[in-house]
Amino acid sequence: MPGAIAFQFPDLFFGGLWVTIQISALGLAGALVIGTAVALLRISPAAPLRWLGAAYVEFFRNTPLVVQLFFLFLGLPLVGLRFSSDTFESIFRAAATGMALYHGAYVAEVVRGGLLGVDKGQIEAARSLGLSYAQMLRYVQLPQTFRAVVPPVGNIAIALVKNTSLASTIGVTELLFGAEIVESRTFRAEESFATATLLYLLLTIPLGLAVNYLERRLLVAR
Amino acid sequence: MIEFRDVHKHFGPLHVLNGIDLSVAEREVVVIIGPSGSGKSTLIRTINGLEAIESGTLVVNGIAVHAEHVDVNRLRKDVGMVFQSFNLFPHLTAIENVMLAPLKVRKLGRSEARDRAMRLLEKVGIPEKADAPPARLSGGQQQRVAIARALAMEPRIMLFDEPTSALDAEMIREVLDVMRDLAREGMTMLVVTHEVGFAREASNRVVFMDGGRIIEDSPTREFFAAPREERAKQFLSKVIRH
Amino acid sequence: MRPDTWGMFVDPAILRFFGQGLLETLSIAAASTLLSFPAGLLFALGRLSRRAWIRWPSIAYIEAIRALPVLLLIVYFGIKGSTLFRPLFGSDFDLPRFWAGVLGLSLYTSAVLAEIIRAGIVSLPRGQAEAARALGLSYAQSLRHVILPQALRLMVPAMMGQLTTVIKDTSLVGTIGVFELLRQGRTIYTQFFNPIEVLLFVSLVYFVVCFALSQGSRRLEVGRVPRIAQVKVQELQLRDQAA
Ligand SMILES: Nc1ncnc2c1ncn2[C@@H]1O[C@H](COP(=O)(O)OP(=O)(O)O)[C@@H](O)[C@H]1O
Ligand SMILES: [Mg+2]
Repeated sequence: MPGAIAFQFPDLFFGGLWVTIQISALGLAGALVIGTAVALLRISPAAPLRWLGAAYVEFFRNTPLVVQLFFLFLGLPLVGLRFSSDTFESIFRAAATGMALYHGAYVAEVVRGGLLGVDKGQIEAARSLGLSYAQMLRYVQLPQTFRAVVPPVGNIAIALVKNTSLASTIGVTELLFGAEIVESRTFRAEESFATATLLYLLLTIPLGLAVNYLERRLLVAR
Repeated sequence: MIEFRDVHKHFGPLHVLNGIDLSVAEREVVVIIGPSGSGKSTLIRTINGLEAIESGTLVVNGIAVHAEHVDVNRLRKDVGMVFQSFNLFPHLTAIENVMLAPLKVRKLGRSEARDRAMRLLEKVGIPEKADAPPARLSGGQQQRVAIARALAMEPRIMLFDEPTSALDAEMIREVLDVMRDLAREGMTMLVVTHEVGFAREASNRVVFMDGGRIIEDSPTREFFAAPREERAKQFLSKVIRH
Repeated sequence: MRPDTWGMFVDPAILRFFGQGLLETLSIAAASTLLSFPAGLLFALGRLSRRAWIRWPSIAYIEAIRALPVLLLIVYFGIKGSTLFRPLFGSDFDLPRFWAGVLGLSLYTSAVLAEIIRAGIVSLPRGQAEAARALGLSYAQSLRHVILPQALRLMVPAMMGQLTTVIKDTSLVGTIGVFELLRQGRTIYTQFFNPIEVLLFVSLVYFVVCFALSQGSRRLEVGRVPRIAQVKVQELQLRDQAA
């Protein structure tokens, strides 16, 4: 019976699930901040800033997330950058940072699309009222992208939850690594992975339904 | 050749075909008119099984379309259909559009299918466009290819669902000319159209539909001389004015 | 940092070692794509089937797989792949790790391709299927000659985009002991203690391959993709780009 094993090893399954949730939440928050910032670079009037934004997006989208995680985990300490003096805390933060950087590139493209979708007349009206470029962004352009951006960001969030499993490759005991440990102790692969599967579905299926619901509602409202 | 007996059909709460009785003899040309939403398209789409009926009987060319296990593909070989939006296959050239069904359904050889397709393109007046993709044809040319495509199966019945509604005046004529020729050759035709000129010259009967019913079914001459039904009269006066 | 190790990236022996890794990476991606395309096509058609006993299992497969991390599938087949196939191939059968990885990737990719193909099919105007059926083509014939040629062509860029995801995901197969590009890099930096240099070099190689592919897919001319298909493809590209 899949699931029963979860109660035999609660800290590996439920504890792992909790770590997965934490990395997802931190990663998503970071991705939103980074993504918005990079999107603003991407539409900035200054060409070098636009190139910088484009370089960020293309680099992070066209290289594997595991490579980025290894880099944060192994590379940064070598140049004296440590996330924490505590090793466990350090790989946890490296994982969350990796999630934020990688998915930030996808968020940036979505937010950029939303910003470009705002009617030019809105921008001209705001500027003609005397708002500065930054004020116009803050009070007129960004708020209007919200609607277009929510469903795709929801889809990125789903990808992010699934991708937290990659933190296992740098030793974070999240859900997948928890299941692997249980498997190696019990040799009950089917139960271990089926249980992890159920727990992942518990996160991703409701998220997926929520995104579909929002997609339909926001599309209709437009 | 086509026999509707008390045919009913619903779309949800909408009674889209409400007790249709209609028979069409071989070589007859019947024009169906009526306000939009009255069920004209649905009616002719039941004839080749694109829409299923719920009750009543419908026999086409000896095949009981209402039966449980009807071979719709056999039915469709003998019934050609032309749509308002042409529906040419954009990934095939004009002549390939015409050849497809003869090759795959009638299993003709390539050269025979090509010869036949070419003759049909000549018949509809655009042999020079044989190798053009649909995107490079005008609307009128596309619709003529669509007619050739339907004729390639050598159907005994042709159905037209507002074949000229998506066309400009100039192109309407070239399509109607082809349809007139067909009528003259004795093809059995059911035509949904608001082209009064075509109905007058080329049809034997006019059927007027409203709200899922056939309100009037008269010989063409009588219908245009004096429609019996008030609703048909009103509708006609509106259509003719523009 | 070991700046003195930069020189290794022009050493032919080291480059050959990386080259083998890249070849393995591309082979895994190619094998996974070739396996998952026909499977994806079947699941797409299954999901569109009028028969509930075909449709519902197809939906369940597609949605469950898409809701899972691809790494979980890879790790599972890495551990249990051999046992799974022993009833078929005999009790001493050993599933090569390469194929365990391909299996995990293909399972996932087939579900995504199924959705891409389905998006292409449903975005075609309804009149196309109707015109085909009205000509007397059977369901299979209208799929084969009318619907699929159009739908697949329309979806070529989206499928190429998915290929870049597959290539990035091959980097996960190293965790079950396949010597793909990243795994080769790890071997090198554990010997030379230069992870920064090696990881940058490896990133560059992935970048060149994936960037070229994604730019190529964007430039392809396939005609106008209907809006509903665009929305679906964007959703897939955001939700199902794994690592
Ligand atoms: N597939 C369908 N599902 C639901 N309603 C439909 C469908 N097809 C047609 N209808 C409705 O049935 C009515 C008759 O349609 P139709 O036969 O196309 O009329 P006409 O061709 O005379 O304009 C319309 O109100 C239309 O909205
Ligand atoms: Mg109609």
